[in-house]
Amino acid sequence: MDFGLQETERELCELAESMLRDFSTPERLLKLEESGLRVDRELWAALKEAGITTIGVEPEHGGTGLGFGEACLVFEQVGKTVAAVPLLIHDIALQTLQRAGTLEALHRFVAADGWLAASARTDRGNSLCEANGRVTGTVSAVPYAPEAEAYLLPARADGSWSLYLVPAEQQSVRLEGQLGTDKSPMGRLTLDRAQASRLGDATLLEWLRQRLIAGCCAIQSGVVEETIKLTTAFVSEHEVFGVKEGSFQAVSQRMADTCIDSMTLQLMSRHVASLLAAQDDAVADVLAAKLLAGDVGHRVLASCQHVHGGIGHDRSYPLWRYAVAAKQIELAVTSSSEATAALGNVIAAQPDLVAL
Amino acid sequence: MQAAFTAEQEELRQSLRRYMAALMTPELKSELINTYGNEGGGPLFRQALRQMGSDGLIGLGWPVDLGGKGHGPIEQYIFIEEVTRAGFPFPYLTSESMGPAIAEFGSPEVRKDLLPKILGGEVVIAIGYTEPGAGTDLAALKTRAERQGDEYVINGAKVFTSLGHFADYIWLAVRTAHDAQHARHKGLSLILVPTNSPGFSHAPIYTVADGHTNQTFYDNVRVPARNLIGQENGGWAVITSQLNRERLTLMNPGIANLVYSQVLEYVHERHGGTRLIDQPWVQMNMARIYTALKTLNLACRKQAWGIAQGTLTAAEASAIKILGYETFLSVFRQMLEVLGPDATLRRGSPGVPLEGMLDVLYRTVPVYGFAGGTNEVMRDMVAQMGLGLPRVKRA
Repeated sequence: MDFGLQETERELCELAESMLRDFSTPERLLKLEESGLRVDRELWAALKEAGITTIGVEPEHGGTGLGFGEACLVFEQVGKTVAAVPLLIHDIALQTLQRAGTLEALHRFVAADGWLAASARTDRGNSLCEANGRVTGTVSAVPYAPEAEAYLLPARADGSWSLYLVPAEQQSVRLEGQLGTDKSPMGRLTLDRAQASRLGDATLLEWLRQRLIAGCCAIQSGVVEETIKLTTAFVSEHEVFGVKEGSFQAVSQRMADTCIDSMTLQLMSRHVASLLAAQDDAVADVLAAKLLAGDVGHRVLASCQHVHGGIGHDRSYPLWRYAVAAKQIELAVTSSSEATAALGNVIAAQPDLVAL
Repeated sequence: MQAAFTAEQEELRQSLRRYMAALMTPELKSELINTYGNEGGGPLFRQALRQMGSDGLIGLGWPVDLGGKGHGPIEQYIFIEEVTRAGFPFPYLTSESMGPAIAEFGSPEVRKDLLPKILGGEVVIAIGYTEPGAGTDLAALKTRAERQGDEYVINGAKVFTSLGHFADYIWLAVRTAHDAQHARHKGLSLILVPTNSPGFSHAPIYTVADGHTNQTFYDNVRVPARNLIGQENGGWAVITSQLNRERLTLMNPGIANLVYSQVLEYVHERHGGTRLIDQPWVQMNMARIYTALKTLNLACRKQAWGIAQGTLTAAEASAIKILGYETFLSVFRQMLEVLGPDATLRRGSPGVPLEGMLDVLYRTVPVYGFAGGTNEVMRDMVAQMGLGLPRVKRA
């Protein structure tokens, strides 16, 4: 049993956080948001140089060779800094290629300057079907699809889902740019008999989905932690009725609840990261973590925006970026209610699933 | 991060589970339920407690030189979890809170006399802190002790002295100084009062949870001065020394884990041809319960680990009290929903599911909101020590 961070993990967190913070100043983020593509290419190049974009890839394939637990610690830092980088999607997409054994593609994208986009959605927002090695249909809200090198996408064939690698540069792929609530670039992709290589079956898709969810939980943990830090600083300085706002019990009690929420989310998020580092499947706890991440993000941001008053809505003050980031993550891959229903299904199928 | 217990710790858990199952004979269960509101105090309860003591179970986490087994706080946590799970009303504050405090602050005579008895399961100590006018604000207490020669003479009254009707000692917080220099908590002392002392008496307060707590009265009770724990007017340090451990013990999820596994089994069984777990809303409840309990279990394990590492902060210990209480409130409610109208039948009614345990549990939970420090004060501590918010003003 060990609930702490190893020295190397602490150093990794510090390195990633300082790089992400240096680049993700409010001025710089504003500029990127106004440029139409909220991706910081300079930061991305620096992360690549430091080996952070290939964190889950084995050294023999040109990666850093750290585990999924370490990757999630870095995702926490992305959440803390609301950095404009497709790190979560790209890194997990690379790990999926490695998992699938698609080594030629893996080596190519490890070396490339750009990024991979990926989606695990199999709901009504994805009508992709595969026939004769070609994929046709539409998938919406694919994170970081604009200007991605390639996409990892689920498509149906003979009634079951598989995962495909679709190169971006082809006539038969049409991309319509979409904008997430957090101003991150997303894309609606319409494929018309597009070239695609099959990476694996529904098991690989589930493997990807669980890691995307765990990564989202890690980002949410960072978002929530930084939001509370900002808000604590604000209510410790801001005065009402001649005293500090944070000295009112109504305010401090509410902030105490955000602190407990943040502690539990970090714990659950790191717990599922450690499970997925050691085993392929941890579906029950992954769903439980996402349920919690959605609820905690919602509650903490509502409380923190509230105690800020109007300043929490002012776009010249940093809080708003955390509010929209938390909502983006809350709905990403699966929502709290959908995760609850899915976890309920797991429990119905597993009579011996004890809480610990 | 690694949340799993070691193979040795899992083995310990299994052996404790077997031990407790054997200890909880039908006769003992019947005594606990029927005669004593599941709080203990009866002859079979005393016998079982002494048995645990002589089998070396009570001092599991105590240092070897104090007569314990020298295991760490994580093993001690497993012990409490399994004992709670078994439904045995182990008087855990005696060994978890007062025992360690006596070891740290007690006079040589008291240490020599009482520590072996605590580890042997021969004594039960009840806490006498709360008074009619001093609960959450403990420093306002008025029960007084006056030094006369080598004795203290105690006068006053306490309320909600749980276990006080059968305990061997009261762990009594008293005022020993009255001048301005010793205002509030600076004038408090801690004295161990034998309940067979002339002048001690008690009267029952029956509770909504089928249990009973007490008023206790101290009318010129004379206690040897060696029963002072710590310094005179140094009681506050004694009282606060064990709070972290006490809060974690209080929020142990053992019983909730047990009931969850029983509800899980129940919803998977066929009742009248259908399974409850096939209903979407039952699945939703079970998923929420699973998530809440998983979170609480992880949080409690992390605290036990933090105690072992010596890194547990007061803010974290306060947080676990809030999390535990809120979790118990919500998961027991959702379990009651799943079991339906039969779930609120009282124990002994024909057709009551889970032997009526959930009905008792939901009636018990409100105590956790204030026992060991009320949650509003806990939240103040989380806000001030955990987040660094400015102090909340108190009159």
